[in-house]
Amino acid sequence: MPAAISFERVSKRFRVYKQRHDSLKEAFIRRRRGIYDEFWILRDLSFEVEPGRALGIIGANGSGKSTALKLIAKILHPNGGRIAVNGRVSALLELGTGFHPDYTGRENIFLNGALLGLRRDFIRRRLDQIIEFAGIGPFIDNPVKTYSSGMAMRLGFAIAVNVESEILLIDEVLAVGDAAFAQKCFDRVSQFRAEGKTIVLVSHDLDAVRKFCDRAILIDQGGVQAAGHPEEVTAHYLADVRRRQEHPDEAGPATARWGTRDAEIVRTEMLGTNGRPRYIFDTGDPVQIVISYRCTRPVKDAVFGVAVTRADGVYCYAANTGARGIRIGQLAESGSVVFSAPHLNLAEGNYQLSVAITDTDFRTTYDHWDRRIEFTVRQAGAYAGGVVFMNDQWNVDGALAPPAAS
Amino acid sequence: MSAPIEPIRLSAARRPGGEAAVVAPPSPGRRDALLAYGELLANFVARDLKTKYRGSVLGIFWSLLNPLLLMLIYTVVFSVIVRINIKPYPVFLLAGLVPWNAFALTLTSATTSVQQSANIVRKVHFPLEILPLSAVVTASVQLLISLVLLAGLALIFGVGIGPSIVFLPLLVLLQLLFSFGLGALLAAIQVYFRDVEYFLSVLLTVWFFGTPIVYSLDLVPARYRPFFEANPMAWLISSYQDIWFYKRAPGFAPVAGFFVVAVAMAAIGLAVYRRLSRRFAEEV
Repeated sequence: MPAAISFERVSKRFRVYKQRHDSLKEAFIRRRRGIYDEFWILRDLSFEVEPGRALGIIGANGSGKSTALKLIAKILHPNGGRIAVNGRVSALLELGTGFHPDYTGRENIFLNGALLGLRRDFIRRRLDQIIEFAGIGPFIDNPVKTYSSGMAMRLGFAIAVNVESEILLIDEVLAVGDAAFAQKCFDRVSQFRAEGKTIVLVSHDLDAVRKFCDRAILIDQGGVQAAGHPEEVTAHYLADVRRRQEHPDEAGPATARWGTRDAEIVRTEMLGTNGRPRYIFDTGDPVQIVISYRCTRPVKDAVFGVAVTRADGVYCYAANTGARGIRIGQLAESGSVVFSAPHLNLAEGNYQLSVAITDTDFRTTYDHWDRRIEFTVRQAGAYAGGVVFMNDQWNVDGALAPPAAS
Repeated sequence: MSAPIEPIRLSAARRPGGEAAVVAPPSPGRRDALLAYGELLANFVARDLKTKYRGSVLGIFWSLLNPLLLMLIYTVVFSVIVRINIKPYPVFLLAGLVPWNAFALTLTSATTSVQQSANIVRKVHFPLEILPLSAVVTASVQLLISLVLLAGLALIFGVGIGPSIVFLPLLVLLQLLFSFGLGALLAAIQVYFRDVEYFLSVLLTVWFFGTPIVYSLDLVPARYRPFFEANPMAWLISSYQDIWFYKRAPGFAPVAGFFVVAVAMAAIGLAVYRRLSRRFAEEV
């Protein structure tokens, strides 16, 4: 029996534009379409998924997991190698893509279904099932622009999982909406498995990979670094993360970087209490971010900035010297800038730190290193939810309730 | 919890043929997919038309207002002030202006069609040719409405409608083919170079006045005429004028010539579009 999905030495190259000339005029004058770095996000990637099996793909951010998924879905085309996909594919990449804001939820089901290649009468037969699954009640007949993002995602999920497909691709979207809906999504995916469908799951959630998948592969530096039983592969991945924590100079997550490099970031470190590099923090820990730089040309009035994004893309925090009213003046030939915060008030989760040097009005980027460092925040004993931790206190019936000693 | 039972029940219910265990069920055929994407095209067109006329009580009226207004202005300028000796001038003018407007509209909306659907191009796999195609179909709906208006005008001015009208569908079809080819070509290039749309608007203005629409070809001095005659849009527009204004069958040479140009344009446009569309998801 042919494999449901087979990748044979598949390579994919991306361009990262430093300067993009996207006008004919400029291209004509400069005789080229911009200055860019080409990098191979995937290099000779080979793997197979047998029909009816569930494969988990794990790896750091920028390792090419999602690119692999988009290649399976035929949204992207490889620069080399062979991809064979046998069966109809339904992709849960970004839910609610292609919704028309002025259309009602019901009308959007048809529009979205058509986008997924479904006939109208097929959708009509499934309509009640989809609406029921989305569970957004009478809102189904209101325009989608009145929906909360959670409602739109639920509707998107409901449509995508009700497509009659043999292969289901899932990218980090298992946990949408509230706990009850997330449970429903998990149940639905389990049901897919029971029906003997092929699943490819890309996730940071190692538990989900262990729970759903028969096999897992770890992608790093464009290729498969480990393959096998999910328990083994996730353990391998965790060991990798731990090793990196001990040797932070080893290649971090493959990241995007751009800028003129007049001033460039030489090294970025996150330090904990003892002034030693750390990649795992507890909520409330003090934190320092040290950005070492070097100038290749004289740079005046630079702005240093940091930004924190959660692994699922939620933009959590950003700060820069400009916003703090700090004038740097002429930048030294080399040196370091340190960001300190007394408490890292992030809730439990996996985060990424981006760092950048720009000019005062952000017109010129000297060096922007996107998602330079991945770090994890644990919230021992006090886990609540959300992105921030507010150092809350509770007063019950007039008496301050002390938290249990941890 | 009924969870362990449910999957079995559902999978059995869905595949009554007892084929539930077959791991590779027959994929929906090519024909089915084609029909589905036909419906997607219809969906896009309906969406575009609805968006265009949303909230305007007068709806379709707006699409007619523009050619009517232009006709009025050109009529005043060219039959009262400049006095081009073509009568009735409004019928002559609209015979060329109506298809030209549809042509310009198609190109303008086709050119930005991929860019405007960036969010779905990046995230969903579907036949990308649908994007410029839906721009063409949307514009052709408006063309058909304007043609009805033109027919009314021909009757009002006593020109009437001759048997040569049977050639109209052929001309419309060729025009759409040509617009699709050129539109797809421009749409693909627009993804990579964002100023194509501005070049287009300049090009369309020059092209409009270089095509015998507000004037007729025999008003052009003989020594410049070969230049005008080399313009494929002139072949098409003159054929429209033959049908509506002169009430005669269009000449064989212009129609055959335009046929060749349209087919070639569609082939080239589609080939370039397909080639460039492989990286749309990355570049758009």
